[in-house]
Amino acid sequence: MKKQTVESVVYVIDDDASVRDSLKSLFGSVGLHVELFDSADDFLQNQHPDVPCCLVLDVRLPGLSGLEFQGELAKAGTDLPIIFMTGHGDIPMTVQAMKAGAVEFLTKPCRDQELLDAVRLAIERDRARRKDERNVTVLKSQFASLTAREKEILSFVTSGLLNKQIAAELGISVVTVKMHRGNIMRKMRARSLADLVRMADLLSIGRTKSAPS
Amino acid sequence: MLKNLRTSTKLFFLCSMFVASIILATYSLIEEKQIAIEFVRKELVGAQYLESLRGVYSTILAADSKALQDEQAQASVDGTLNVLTANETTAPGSLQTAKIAQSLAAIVRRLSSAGSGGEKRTLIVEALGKARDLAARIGDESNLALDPALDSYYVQNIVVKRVPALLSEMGELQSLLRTASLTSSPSSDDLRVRRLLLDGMIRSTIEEIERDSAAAYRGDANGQLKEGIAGAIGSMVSTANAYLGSANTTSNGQASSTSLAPMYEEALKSINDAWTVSQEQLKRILNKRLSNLVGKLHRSLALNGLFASLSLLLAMITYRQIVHPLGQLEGLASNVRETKDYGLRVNLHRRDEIGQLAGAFNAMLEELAAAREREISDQERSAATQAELARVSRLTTMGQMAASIAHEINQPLAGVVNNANAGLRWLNNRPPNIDEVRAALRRIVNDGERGSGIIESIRAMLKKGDRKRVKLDINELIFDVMRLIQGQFQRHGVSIRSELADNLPTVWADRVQLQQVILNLLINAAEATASSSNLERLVCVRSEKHDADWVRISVEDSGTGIKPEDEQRIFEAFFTTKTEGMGMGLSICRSIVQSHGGRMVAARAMPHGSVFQVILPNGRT
Repeated sequence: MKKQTVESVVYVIDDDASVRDSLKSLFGSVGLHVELFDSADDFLQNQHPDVPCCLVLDVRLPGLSGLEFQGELAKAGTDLPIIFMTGHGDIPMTVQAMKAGAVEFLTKPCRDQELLDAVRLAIERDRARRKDERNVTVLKSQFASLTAREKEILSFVTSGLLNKQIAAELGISVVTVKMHRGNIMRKMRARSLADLVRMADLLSIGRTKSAPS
Repeated sequence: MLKNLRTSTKLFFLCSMFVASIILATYSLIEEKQIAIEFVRKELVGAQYLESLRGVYSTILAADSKALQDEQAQASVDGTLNVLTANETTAPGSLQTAKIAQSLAAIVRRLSSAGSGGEKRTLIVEALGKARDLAARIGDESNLALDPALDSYYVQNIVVKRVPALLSEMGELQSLLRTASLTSSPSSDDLRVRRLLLDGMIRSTIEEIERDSAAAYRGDANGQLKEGIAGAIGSMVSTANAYLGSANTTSNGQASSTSLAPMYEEALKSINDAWTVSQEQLKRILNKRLSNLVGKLHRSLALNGLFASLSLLLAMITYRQIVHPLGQLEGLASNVRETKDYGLRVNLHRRDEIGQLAGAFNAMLEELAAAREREISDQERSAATQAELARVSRLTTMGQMAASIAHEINQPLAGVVNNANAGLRWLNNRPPNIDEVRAALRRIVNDGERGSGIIESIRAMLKKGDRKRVKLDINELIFDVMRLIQGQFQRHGVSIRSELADNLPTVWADRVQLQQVILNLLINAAEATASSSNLERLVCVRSEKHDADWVRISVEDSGTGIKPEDEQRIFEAFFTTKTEGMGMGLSICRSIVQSHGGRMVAARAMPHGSVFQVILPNGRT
């Protein structure tokens, strides 16, 4: 309905209607947009807008439990920040959830400020992640525009080799190396060598000898 | 057959056979010795007989020199003959001498009554011949002639044959000489030949006596015999030779026969002495042999008796050492069998087979005792384990219930807190959103009511939760339990439906226990239904009248149902089809129901799932 207008979404998954409603009211009171689901399956069956968001889950859920759901999401490559709520959490359960990347693990009933802070932190983290993800997507397309020779030289450059060394390594002249480097800087839109190294880091190339193909 | 005999009987047989063989051997030994003894006794009888014969000889020879008509002489002849007769009769049958003795007696009587002259001399010679015959017969019949030992054999030879022969020959010679002197006629050729012949015979007899005595001395080891008779024999030989020498001169010269008489008397006397001494020695030897034999017999008997009693003693000891301990073992074995007291032990400290057997027996008892102890402790342990499992299962059920209650109360509480916080925030907003505040407050009220409802159910359960049998409304009980586990059903995505009949008979039962049963059945049903892939996820709980005053509670699920092969075992302890179950739930349920006098039934439901029924009596008995 108003999907374009919302800036961020909190997804609440809980099998207890009264808990769901109370959470919707609480988040609504601070101006957060909330969407409610009574099970993990229910959540997965719906489409969600591409905006910063977070999940508020009860550990005990009908069907898939909260922890299982977390595992499923990670397997699918969906990296959504999760805040767990539980009536009776134990230490192993908490450790498992936090190891798997949960933002917070709260026991019911919890302090509202704690919950709201956790939700805000989660949304901010998601926002940053989405931005990085977008940057990486751009970088990937720029990297894809490089020729095979340029990719090769990029990995040498970011490994800290001098032009002379690269020329000797590849059996070409220093002038040719310099020309490739110029092309690389231009195609990757790097303002300096440091910028180029940071890009290579984001793309996770260059530290090793084997360049990604 | 021998196998079945008691060992004591076998031992008895063995022992008695042994004793019998000893007795048999002893008997044959006695018999043998008895023969030898009888032999010697007979010899002694013969010797005694010969002594009386010696008297007869004296009488006969004396008749030659003096008249026998006077009373005294007559009486002495009678006495001598009486002694002979008496001896003859003491050995009747054994010595066949009666005829000869009688004829001898007759001759001697005739001799005593006969006058002097030729008739008398003829009678003397005849009597001497008879007496000699009698002596030889006595020797033969009384075994003397068969004597086995050298000394006694030669002595008896002297006594029985030689001396009577010598006396006869001397008597004959003397009467021959007297006849010649009385007739005063020159000695005819006939008489001279006869005298020379007699002379030669006497000399040869004397030589034989000397030879025999020498042989007898050789046979006598200790020389006692020689000491006894050598002197008598020597004087006899010398006097006899002297008599023979003067008899020769008498017949050649004119010396009257009367001068010969004293020499004759002397010779007779020394012969008689030698005879007496020899007879005494013979008797001594025979008596010695007899006492020897009897002594040997007694020694043998004593030895045999000793060995027989030793063998009896040995048998008795064997009995004590084999049969007695065996009996002890057998008694102990049956004692252990009856009393089951495996602490009993055989007390036999020996190194033989019986001791080893006793040791093995004791070791066996020890192992039995250990096994028995293990068995008992196993039983105790398994009973304890059973009780512990029942307790754990009960706690697990209670724990499940407690967790369920906590969750049920926590949910509305969380709602209350969230709603209150939200309400405050809506109020603080500028401008405050009164509608939202109102909605939040309404939700708070609802949550509060929900929480208090749950607490009411718990109170209803715990307040009446004493362990006594009380009058129960089954429907109320089911309702309480349902309220408590509604949340669990929700989470499993299972709905619950109740069909409770009115006008049920009241049941007297233990509230907590019965709640446990229903709770267990409902949780099982929820889990079974949740794990199935059926679309319809429904559990139905029913209460209805069964017969007149029984109540039946049924819990039906739409789960996977019971496999036919599990139907028999579903109520057994430790039987479970769940991966995390202990298999105690249904087993405990059934024992609770049975302790209330009821029963539990499991069956397959149509079209799928299973149904568990609890059938209870009203319990007012």
